[in-house]
Amino acid sequence: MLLLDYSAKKEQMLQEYYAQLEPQIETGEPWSDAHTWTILTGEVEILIRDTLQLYHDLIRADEFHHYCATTQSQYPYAQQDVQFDALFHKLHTLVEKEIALAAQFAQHGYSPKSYEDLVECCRAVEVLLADESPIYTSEAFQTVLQHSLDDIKAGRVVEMPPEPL
Amino acid sequence: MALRSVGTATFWQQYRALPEPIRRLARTTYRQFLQDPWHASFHRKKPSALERLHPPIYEFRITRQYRALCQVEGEEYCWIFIGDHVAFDREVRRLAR
Repeated sequence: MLLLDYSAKKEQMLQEYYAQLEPQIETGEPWSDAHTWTILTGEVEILIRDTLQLYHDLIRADEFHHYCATTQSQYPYAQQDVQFDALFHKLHTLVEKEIALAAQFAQHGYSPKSYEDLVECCRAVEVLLADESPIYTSEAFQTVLQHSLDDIKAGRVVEMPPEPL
Repeated sequence: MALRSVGTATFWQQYRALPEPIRRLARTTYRQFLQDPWHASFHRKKPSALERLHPPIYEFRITRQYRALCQVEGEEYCWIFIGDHVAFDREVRRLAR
């Protein structure tokens, strides 16, 4: 699947990008050199922006993956799904590393623009990868579920149309 | 016995609130469900948090992000929830703040 291959390559590229950036921050005193500082903050912004884009690309690719699964009898769903899982796990690792990186920058007075989005992205991937969706134990979900169960009791149900939904 | 499938009023309300591309995908998924209710792409499973309920409730995957819940009794399927788990989780956390 082209979309999956593209996302996998992009994830690899971002891991390499991160691997180049990290030692520059870990070693030396980039904070004391204005020129290096400017370059590094710019690089971190790009890294985070592209990682967030990768998340959105993967979500779209996953939608297409499920579309293919239900419309093409020969589609190798199980095989592709394993690759999607692996890629979401890799993305999660990358996002966690970037959050740590952003925290280092924040300690020196610079908070990357999309930091909050990155934290949200991390949580979103955790939701997608969880063995069981965390929403089910929430009070809000239990309320919504109760509405639906009340619908059943009150007979507020509609037969699925012959040409469904 | 033929499969009978209904949706609650709450389910239909949630369905209508979905983005159109996801509604289209839900329709495609449902057509597949009518042919094979155990298709691998559904990742059909009983959420342990809902195990106390009877008849049992199963989760069906539309995508990793969008999933539906169905109460199943023999060949009778009652759809009770459809939605975006990432957005729902975000909203739960926002309300908790």
